[in-house]
Amino acid sequence: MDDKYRPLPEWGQPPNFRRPSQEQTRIAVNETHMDGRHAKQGTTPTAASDAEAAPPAEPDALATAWSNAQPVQDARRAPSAEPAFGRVLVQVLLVQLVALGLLWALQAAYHR
Amino acid sequence: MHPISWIVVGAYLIYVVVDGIRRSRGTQRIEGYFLAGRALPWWAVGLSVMATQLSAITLIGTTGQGATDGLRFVQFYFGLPLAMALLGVTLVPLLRGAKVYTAYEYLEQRFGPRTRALTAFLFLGSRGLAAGTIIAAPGVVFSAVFGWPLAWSVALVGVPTVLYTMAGGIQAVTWTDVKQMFVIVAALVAVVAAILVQMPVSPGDALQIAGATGRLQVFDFSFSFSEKYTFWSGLFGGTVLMMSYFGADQSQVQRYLAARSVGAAKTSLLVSAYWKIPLQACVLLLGVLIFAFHQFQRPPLLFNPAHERAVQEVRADDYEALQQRYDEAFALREAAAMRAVEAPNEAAAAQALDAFRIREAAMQEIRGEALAMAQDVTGERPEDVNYVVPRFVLHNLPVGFAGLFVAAILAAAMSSVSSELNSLSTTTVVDFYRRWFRPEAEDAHYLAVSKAATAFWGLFACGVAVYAANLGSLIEVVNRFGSFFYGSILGVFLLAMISSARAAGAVVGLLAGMAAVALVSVLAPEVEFLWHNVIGAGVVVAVGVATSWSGTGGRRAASLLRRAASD
Repeated sequence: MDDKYRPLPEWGQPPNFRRPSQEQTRIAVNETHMDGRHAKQGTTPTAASDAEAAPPAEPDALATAWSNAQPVQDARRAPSAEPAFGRVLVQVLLVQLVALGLLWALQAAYHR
Repeated sequence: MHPISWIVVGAYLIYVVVDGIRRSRGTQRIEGYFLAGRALPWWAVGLSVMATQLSAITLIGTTGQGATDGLRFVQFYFGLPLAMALLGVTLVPLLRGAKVYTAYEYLEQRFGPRTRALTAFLFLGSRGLAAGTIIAAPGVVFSAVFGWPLAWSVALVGVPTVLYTMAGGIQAVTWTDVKQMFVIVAALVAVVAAILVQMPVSPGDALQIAGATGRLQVFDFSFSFSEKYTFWSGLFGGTVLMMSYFGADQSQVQRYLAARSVGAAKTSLLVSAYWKIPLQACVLLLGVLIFAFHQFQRPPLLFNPAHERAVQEVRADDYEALQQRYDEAFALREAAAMRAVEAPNEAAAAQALDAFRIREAAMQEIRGEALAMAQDVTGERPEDVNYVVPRFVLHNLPVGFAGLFVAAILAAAMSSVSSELNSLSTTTVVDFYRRWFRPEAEDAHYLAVSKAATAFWGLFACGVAVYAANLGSLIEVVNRFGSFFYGSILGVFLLAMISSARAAGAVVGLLAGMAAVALVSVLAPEVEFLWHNVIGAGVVVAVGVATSWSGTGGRRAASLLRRAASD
């Protein structure tokens, strides 16, 4: 077995499927932009994106799949109404302060 | 236990298995089985993470600890909110962005296959044993309380859990966790209500009695490596331990990998940060209230019914004499407690509490003699802290409520074990089977192997549970063994975030971190285990960075030498 790491095929894809590299993906999307088929600039799917679209092997098909996947992804996320991380973090800190304050008061009142 | 209580337990077990298996309908693909299609909402993931953390040991051990030692254990969790916030902005986006199935898969992308294989192997070894100890804890208590053979008790927890985890994968694990969390909270509320209703004095007076014995001391600001629970060990050691657990342990990582977005994953971690300290304080306070309750209603001399039966059988006369002294000491202590409660002013109350403390010490002395007798007769460890709450529940809760509490103990154990089994199966299949043996196969094949792996780890955990219970101290050994490398594995993930770190640095750092913790535990046993995590993570990062730099520097020097020689 080759020890060098290479991305494994996506689960559920045919055994001979290979995930395209980031470079392939970048080229594919840039080509699509030049064709004028992609309305919005700068929507390159990167490894860090949370999109669920399975990119096909061919660059043109990749761009089509990406633009098709975008509304599906947005539609799936819409009903979740996730609270913002920063706002929840502030709430967490406030709750901890209140909890520690109550514990402090309990200790001050009853610990002998 | 009353038949109605047994019906409650039976109904819970049937519901949880049927509901879990029902979830298997949607998991035809391996991504659904392991990651629920990466589509779980943040609140379900958050509750599931909390349920996993809240094991049976929490329900019976932590409440018992509250009864015997008070509230100061809550300091252990002071680092958790900070750890969750740090993970939310560091590791969570990193692992989600890498689109991996396991945390160790990411390490291969960063450091190569050796680091992945080593960390995944450490996870399988430690979590496999830990799953056994999680089943063993309630198994031992059920056996002692109900007089069943240990294998039955282990099977009661293990078999239903394996069934629904095997069938439904993470979908079943997460959604049953959510429901189990509600069962656990309902049972805790029921017990608190029952205590407050039956307490012969007001809650304020009960707390005054408990406070006189030091059980309401929460904060200890002394800085000591040998003191197990202090504000500082909780804040520093606890933060590193929680970061290790939630950031580098597949049983937790897998949960937020299954969330529907990075934001959902980050928020789900904050659910734990939100509730952990208040919930844990309530669990400990429940134990404190049981202690206060036992000031006015005589507690058993030995809480472990199996030990009580053994001592009564072998040394009946000695035990009866001890029991008589205990009854007299209890009557004196109860009178002292009532005098303290009814004192007309502060000075009289202080005087009465001094007398109460003397009576309490006398009672504990007799208990100490009984525990020594139990150890002498059974040859087992005599500590009976885990039996305080089950004995209280079975003798003092109304019909049906005892069943609810037993169901809650089962729920707590099952929610933890199911997560362990699912993550063990994922790591076995993704990091070993698929990586080294069958890299290319259809989903149906991997799904079948994953189910078989879940069954295997379930059997392994049940086997460990039976042996862990018989060997007694194995649970402690496993916990200590875990603390050897928890911090070190976190160190590797921290190293992954340093751009100059290299594969050799990761492997050498990981080995150095584990060796450093082993050395500290041998040469300085007084250093408490929470600090082991800080030491492990620190050594891995320091040695890993130094090795990476020396490697890069060495290659540069060799290149310069070669160039000079060719010139």
